Amino acid sequence: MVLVVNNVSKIFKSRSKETVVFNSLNLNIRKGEFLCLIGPSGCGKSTLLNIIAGLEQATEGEVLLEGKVVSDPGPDRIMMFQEAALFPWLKVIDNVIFGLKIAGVKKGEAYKMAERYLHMTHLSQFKNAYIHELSGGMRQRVALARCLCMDAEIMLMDEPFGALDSQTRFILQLELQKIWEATKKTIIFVTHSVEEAVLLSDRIVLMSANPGGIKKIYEINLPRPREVDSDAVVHQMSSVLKDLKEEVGKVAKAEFDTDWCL
Amino acid sequence: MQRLNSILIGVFSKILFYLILILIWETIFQIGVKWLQIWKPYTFPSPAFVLRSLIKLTQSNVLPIAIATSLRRIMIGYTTSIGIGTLIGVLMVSFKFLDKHLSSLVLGLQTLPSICWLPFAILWFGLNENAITFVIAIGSTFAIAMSIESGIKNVNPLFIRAARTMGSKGYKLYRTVIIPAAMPNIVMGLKQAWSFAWRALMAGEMLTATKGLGQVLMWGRDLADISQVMGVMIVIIILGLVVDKLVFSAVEKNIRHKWGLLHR
Repeated sequence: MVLVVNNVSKIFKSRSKETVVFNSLNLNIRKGEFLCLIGPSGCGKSTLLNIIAGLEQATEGEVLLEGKVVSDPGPDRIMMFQEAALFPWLKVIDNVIFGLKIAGVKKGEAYKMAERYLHMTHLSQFKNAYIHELSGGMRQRVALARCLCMDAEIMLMDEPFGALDSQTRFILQLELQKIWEATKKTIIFVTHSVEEAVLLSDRIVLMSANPGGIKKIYEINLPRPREVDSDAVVHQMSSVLKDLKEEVGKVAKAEFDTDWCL
Repeated sequence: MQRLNSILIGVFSKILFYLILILIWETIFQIGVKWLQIWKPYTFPSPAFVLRSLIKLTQSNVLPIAIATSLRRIMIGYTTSIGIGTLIGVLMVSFKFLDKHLSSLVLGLQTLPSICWLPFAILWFGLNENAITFVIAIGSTFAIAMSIESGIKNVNPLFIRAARTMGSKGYKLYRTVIIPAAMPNIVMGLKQAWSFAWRALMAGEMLTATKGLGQVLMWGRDLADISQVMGVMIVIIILGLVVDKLVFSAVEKNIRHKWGLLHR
């Protein structure tokens, strides 16, 4: 176990009420695995990811990274967001080496590493461009290169392809699979898309809402590379989708008018 | 080649614009002063008179000395205000208590014309350079403090989150992310502060100084030489434009280019 989520609870307190996002959540993440978190909106999957990243604090419980309690964000758990979160005042390559510079890597060496990862994400031609000159998909690839450049053991990805069009997303999913196979990082990946989850992951964690928690964990033992239209993938998707639908229905019922049904 | 052409066209259209403006001015002068005689010549100068007066002031070395003096004063006052304003701005961002109470006071102080401080300046520093420096500095400090504060507060939180996961924190986070991200806002504040500083300088010089552009302008008033007054006003405008073009516009253009805010 590289990462252990131990009895973690997250409760948002406001003056009038307490909102329990999830209570006593336990999850063990294996070294080198690709784990997807899915669930209806509001189930706390992004919150869980933020707690693992150290960007948010758990109300109770702890996250252990190789036995050590996580309290701050750190370069050993690099995070990728739905928006690229690139710095507009820096060129592409300077964005990619940002973390390395913070870590004190020498500029020449950092550039060399950045160029390797920009090559891997097919951005070599754009290394001297500014961010606004890139398309959405290219920006997300820069963000991916920036993550990879940090060479962190764990990559946390919060719907990184969520805002992209489907073709771009398809390409990036393929790229990510290749890169993951080549680097064998531990990836925790939040997504709304069951298809994406089945295509990419070793395990899928389905989270429930109100009260939040882990509903079910699926082991996906399908050979790679996986095709969207292969029988095994479709079969797996439908079984996950059935459970997800139930959860989504529950959330919708609580949110919409009472006579709503799925 | 095309680039050169478009620059030339730009310069010509600018010259044309000012020629038309001067022509209109001359026409109004001819109609109002010479023909209808509703205004006296000493209340409304003609472009030719103003030009003659400017040449005269330059030849006697009065204008160059005045420009040099004024620029020196504003540089000292403005630099001081950048230092103090940045300090106040950073303090406001760092301490919640100060942010809550000091920021509204700073806003109030910013609306106060800086010349109101002149009596204090004279009492504290005497009738000298320091009094004028003080008035300039206090005129622009608060604009800088406000821009630093709002610039830092408006930094996209996503930038900070991303930087933190890459191990950036504390002073490094400020240097590598927060300040560059706040830069567009800060430059706007610096620009505004510069214009406040100019106004404070002119007011200060008109009331107390024995040298400088404001003093030359007042001297024109004392001699009832309206052409000199107008001439100095034009010099002030030109200096303001030149500084804006060479410093602030250049910096702004650079930022806009990087951030992709403008495609012109």
